[in-house]
Amino acid sequence: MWLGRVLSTPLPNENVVFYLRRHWFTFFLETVHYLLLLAIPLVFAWVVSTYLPERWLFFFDGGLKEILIKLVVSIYYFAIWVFFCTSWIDFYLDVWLVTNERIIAIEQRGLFNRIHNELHLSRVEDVTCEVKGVFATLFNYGDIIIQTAGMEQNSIFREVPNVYKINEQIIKLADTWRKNNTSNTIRQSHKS
Amino acid sequence: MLTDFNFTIPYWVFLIPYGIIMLLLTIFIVINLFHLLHYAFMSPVAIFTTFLLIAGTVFILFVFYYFLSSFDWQREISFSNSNINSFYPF
Repeated sequence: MWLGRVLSTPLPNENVVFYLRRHWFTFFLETVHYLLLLAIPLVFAWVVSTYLPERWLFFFDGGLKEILIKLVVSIYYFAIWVFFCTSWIDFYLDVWLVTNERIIAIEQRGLFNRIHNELHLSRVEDVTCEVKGVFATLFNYGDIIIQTAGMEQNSIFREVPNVYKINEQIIKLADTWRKNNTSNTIRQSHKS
Repeated sequence: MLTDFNFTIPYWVFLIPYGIIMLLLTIFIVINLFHLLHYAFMSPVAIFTTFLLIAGTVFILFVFYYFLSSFDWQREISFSNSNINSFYPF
């Protein structure tokens, strides 16, 4: 696994349990939207050139009208490419890491907003999952909300796959961590 | 009182706002590239994506250049109050 940037300073005996990204289907849905946007001018051009050929010739006569249309269309297509790339970066740079010690959430929101949230397992109070919508139900992805003790911000894993299994595993990890550390504390107090 | 005016604007003037918008969008691409190189751990997917992002952008800009270079950008639109109908951009 390529974890250098995410887990740059691992704790002693820290092992990665889950390395999560958003479900691939969420990006597929975004791609379909962009493909539809790509198709709109093509469909429009086909309809006009087929059913209104005199209109087509009026606009595409090699003059200023054609120039302006082509400038606008090229801006439109380049903008779609740019926003598609931004969506990919947004998708690819959202990473959630669950180790046997902590939870690391890294979220890229647009071009100028990046969130790095780290939460120790001892702070985990409650873990809930939410599967909302037809596709989420079919493809088994959804949000996992990790509620924390105190004033710390809740951690949310967005649109991750296998929500129920991961939800269960995080609860188990937090319980295991508490058991291990409680027994260690008791042992240490007995020694002293 | 209106004074007589008669002036022309070459087609290439439209390339100025076009260039500004394309430049802004290209800056967005550069920022995306920066995010990818700076924050993504260099996995094969990230390397492939970086290549695709650069290659795709260059290809798209080249296609636009190819289509737009076929126009005669030195042609002019004329504006005149002596013959208002001389303005025939459309």
